[in-house]
Amino acid sequence: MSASEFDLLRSVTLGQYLPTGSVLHRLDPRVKLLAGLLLLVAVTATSSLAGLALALALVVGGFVVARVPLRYALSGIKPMVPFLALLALLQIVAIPQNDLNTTLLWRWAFVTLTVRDLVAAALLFLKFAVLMWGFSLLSFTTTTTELTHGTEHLLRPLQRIGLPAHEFALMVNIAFRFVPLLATEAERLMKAQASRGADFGGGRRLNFVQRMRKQLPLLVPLILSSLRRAEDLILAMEARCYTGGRGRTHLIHLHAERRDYLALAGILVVLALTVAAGFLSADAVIWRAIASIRTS
Amino acid sequence: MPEPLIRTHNLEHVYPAGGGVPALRGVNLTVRRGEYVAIIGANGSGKSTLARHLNALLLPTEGDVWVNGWNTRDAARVRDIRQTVGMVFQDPDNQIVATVVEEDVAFGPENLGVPDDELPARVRWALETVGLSAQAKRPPHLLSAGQKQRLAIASALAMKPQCLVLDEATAMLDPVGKAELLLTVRGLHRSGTTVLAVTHTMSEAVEADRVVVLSEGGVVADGTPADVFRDEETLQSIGVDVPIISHLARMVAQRIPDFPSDVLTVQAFADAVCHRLGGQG
Amino acid sequence: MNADSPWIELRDIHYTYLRGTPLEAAALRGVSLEVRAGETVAVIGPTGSGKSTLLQHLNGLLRPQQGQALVLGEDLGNSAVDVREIRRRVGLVFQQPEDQLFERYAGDDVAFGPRNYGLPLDAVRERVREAMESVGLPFEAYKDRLTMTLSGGERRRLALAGVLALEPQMLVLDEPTAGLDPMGRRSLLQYLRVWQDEAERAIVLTTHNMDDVALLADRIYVLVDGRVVRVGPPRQIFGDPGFLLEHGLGLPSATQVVQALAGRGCSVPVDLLTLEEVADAVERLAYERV
Repeated sequence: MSASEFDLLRSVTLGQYLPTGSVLHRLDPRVKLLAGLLLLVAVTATSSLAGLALALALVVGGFVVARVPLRYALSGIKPMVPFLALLALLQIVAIPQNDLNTTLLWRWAFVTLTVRDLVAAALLFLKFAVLMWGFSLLSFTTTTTELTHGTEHLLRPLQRIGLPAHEFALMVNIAFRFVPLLATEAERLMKAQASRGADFGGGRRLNFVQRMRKQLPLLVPLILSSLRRAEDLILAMEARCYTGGRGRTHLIHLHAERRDYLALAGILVVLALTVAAGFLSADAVIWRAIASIRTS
Repeated sequence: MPEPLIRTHNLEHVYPAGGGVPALRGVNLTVRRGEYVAIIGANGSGKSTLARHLNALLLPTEGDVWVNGWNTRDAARVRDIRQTVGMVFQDPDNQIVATVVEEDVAFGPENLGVPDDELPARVRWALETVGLSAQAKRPPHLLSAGQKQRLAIASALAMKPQCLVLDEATAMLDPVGKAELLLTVRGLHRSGTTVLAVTHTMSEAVEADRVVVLSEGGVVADGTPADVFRDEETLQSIGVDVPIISHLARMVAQRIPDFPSDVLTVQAFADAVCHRLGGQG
Repeated sequence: MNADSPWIELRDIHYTYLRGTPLEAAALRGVSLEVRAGETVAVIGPTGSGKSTLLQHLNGLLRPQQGQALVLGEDLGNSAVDVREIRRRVGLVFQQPEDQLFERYAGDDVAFGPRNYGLPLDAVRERVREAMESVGLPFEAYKDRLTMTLSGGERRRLALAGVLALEPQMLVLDEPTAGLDPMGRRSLLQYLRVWQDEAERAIVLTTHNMDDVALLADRIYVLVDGRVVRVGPPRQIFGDPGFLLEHGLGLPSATQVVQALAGRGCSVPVDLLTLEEVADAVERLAYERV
C-alpha cells in the first residue's frame, strides 16, 4: 500500500543524525568539520576520476565504519539525480571537449560526444555525489550541537579581531533546533489545508504567480509562526540575561585526543592524493596500464 | 517587616499598538518573600503583561515596579533583576535555546559569567531539582512537553533566582505534564522560592497561598483562594471560572444545610462529606 | 453502503512512520474502530498513543499500510477513491486550528474551503455566512475584519467555521478544547452538541479533558501504545477508574470525587458522570441517615 502523500522526511538523508555509537561519532567535531572542508577543496580541485574514486572510497569507508546502512546512505542522492543528469547533459552540449587527443563517439548537428565529454560528465556527477555523501556522513556522525561547538571553537581565535563567533554559533544552533520543528509544522499545515480541499500540486497551465498563490495557505501561517517563535525566543533569552558573546563563560570545552589527530592526518593524506592524482595524470597512467594488460 | 520582594505602585501599561487602551491600569501589588501567588483573569485581562513587568521585560508607561528594592527602570540593575526573578513561558519549544538539555540549563549562568568550573555543579543541581538528571545529555526535542517545561524551570533555576514567575506554564501540557510541573513547583515553594503563577486553570490556582484576580487591566480581588472563589457570580461575570469542586460544593450546600461551600479540592470535598455524614459508608 | 452500516469502519489498521528507514516508528498496531450515524465517539489515550495518526485515517490523509479503512462506504485502501470528496464530507479539525488561518480578511479564510471545491460565488458567500453565524461570529460584523486582529477564541471559531463551510456530515476533532479558557470551552462543547443534533451527523474527537468526554461521548475508545485496550460507553469506562489510572489517563471530576469518597468508606455509585449526579448522590446519602 502506498505511503501517504505527505511523508516529507523520507528521502532526505542530509542533515539526519544516526546515533550508532561508532568511533566516527566520538571524533572531535573540529576534525570532522575540517575534514568536510578538505573534502570540498579536494573534490573541487581534482581533475582525475581515479582521484575521485579514492575520495569516494574514503566516504564509503566512512559509512561502513560509522555503521550506517549503505543502501540508505547512498539513497540520499536520489532527489538530486534529475538535476545532475541535466547538468551533465548541459556539460556535454555546451562545453565540447573535442580536441585531437580524444575519440569521437557520436555526432548530431552541432553536438559532438567524445570520450572526453563522457569523462567530464562522469567527473561532474561523481564530484557532486561524493560531496553530498561526504556531507551526509558528517551529519550522520555529528550532532548539530557538536557541529556548532566545533564551529565556535574553530572561530574563537577570530573573536579577538571582532568576529562574533558566539553569536554566529548560536544563530546556527537555533536554526538547527527550529528547522525540524518547522518541517513538522509545514507537514501539519499541508494536512490541515488539504483537509479543506486545498491542492498544492502545480497544474499544467498555471503560471508562476498562480503557483505561488497556491502555496500561500502554507507559507503565510509558517512565516507567521516563525515570527512568533522568534519573538518568544527573544523574550526567553533576554529573561536569561543574554547580551551577546562578550563576557560569557562556557560549560562545554572540546578536547582533541591522539586519535583525532591521527584521523585528520589520514584524511589529509587521502585527499592530498585525490588532488595529486589530477596533476600526475593518474587517469592516463591507469588507462594505459589497463590497455596493456588487455593486449598482453 | 522585611522589604517585599516585589512591589508595584500605580502600574500602568499601554502597548504602542494598543490604541490607547491600557493593558494594565493602576495595579498595586505586593509580593513577599516565600509567597505563592496565583494570578488569574480572562484572556486579555493583563495577566501576562503584568508578569513581564516583574523582570523588566516590559517597563511601565506610568507608575513603578520594584524588585528587591531596585526600580525596573534602572538600566544598570536589569541584569540583577532578571537574575532575581526567573521566568518560564507558555510554549515549551520557544524558550529552549540549546540542542542538549544540560547546555540549555547552562545558558543562563553562562550569560551571567558564572566561572567555568562552577557551571557543571550548577547544571547538575538544577536538573536534579526538577527530576531531569537522566536527560542531561539528550536533545530537547526528544522530551515530552511536560519535561520541556521542567527543563525551562531548571534553566531558570540555574541562575539561582529568588522568585519564579510561571506565565501560563501548564497551558500547553497534557494532564500528566501538568501534574509533574505542579509537583515540581510545589517542591520549589517548599524550599523557599517565591512563586508567581499566571494561570487559567483553577485547580492550579487553589494551590497558591494567595489569588489575585485581574479584569480589564485592574485588580478586582486579592485574597486567599477560599475568599476569592466564594463569589462565584462576580467571577463568572468577568469571565473567570471557579474550581469545579467549588461549584460542586455550592450545589451540595443548596441541598444539604450546613455543608461548607468554600471547599476547593477533591480531597477536601470528600473530607467534608464524610464529616457531615459522620464518616459511615 | 446501506442505511444501517456504520459510517466509519476501521479494521485492524497498522501504520508505521518512516517505514523502511532506520528511523521508523510504529504508531498504530492493529486498531479497529466503528462510528455510526448520530454518534459521538471519543478516543482517549496518553500522549503518543497514536490518536492523531488514527484521526488522519478518517479523511484519507493517511492510507492504511495494513488493514482496511471504510469511510462513508469508500475503501480508502483503493487509490482510485476520490479522497477530496471524502475530505469534504468528513471535516477534520486539527489541534490549534487557528494556526492554519492565512487570509487577510476573516471572511476570505472561511471561503477557502468552498472555493477549493469549485462552488459558484453566491453559493460560497451563503456557506460562509451560515458557517460564521453558527459559530457566533456574525457575518456582516466579522467578514471584513483582519484575521490576525481577532482574539484567540474568535480565531478558533473562525477556523472551525472554515471547516463547517464545507457542510460535512462528520466532524473529526483533535483536542478541540485545548488551550481554550473555561468560557470558550463551554461554548464550544455546547456548539458541538447542537451541531450534532441538528441533522444526521457524527463526531469523533480526541481529548485529554475527561469532563468533555463525560459530557459528549456516546462511546469511548481507549488507545494505548497504538492498540485499543478498551471500548465502551462512558459509564462503563469511567466506572473502572483503576484501569484508566494504570494507563496514565485522567478521570472526569465526578469520578475523582467518587474515588475519594470510596477511599473514605462513603459509598456512592461508581458510574456517576456529572456534578449534578454527584450532588444528588451525596444528598441521598445524607438523607438516608436521617
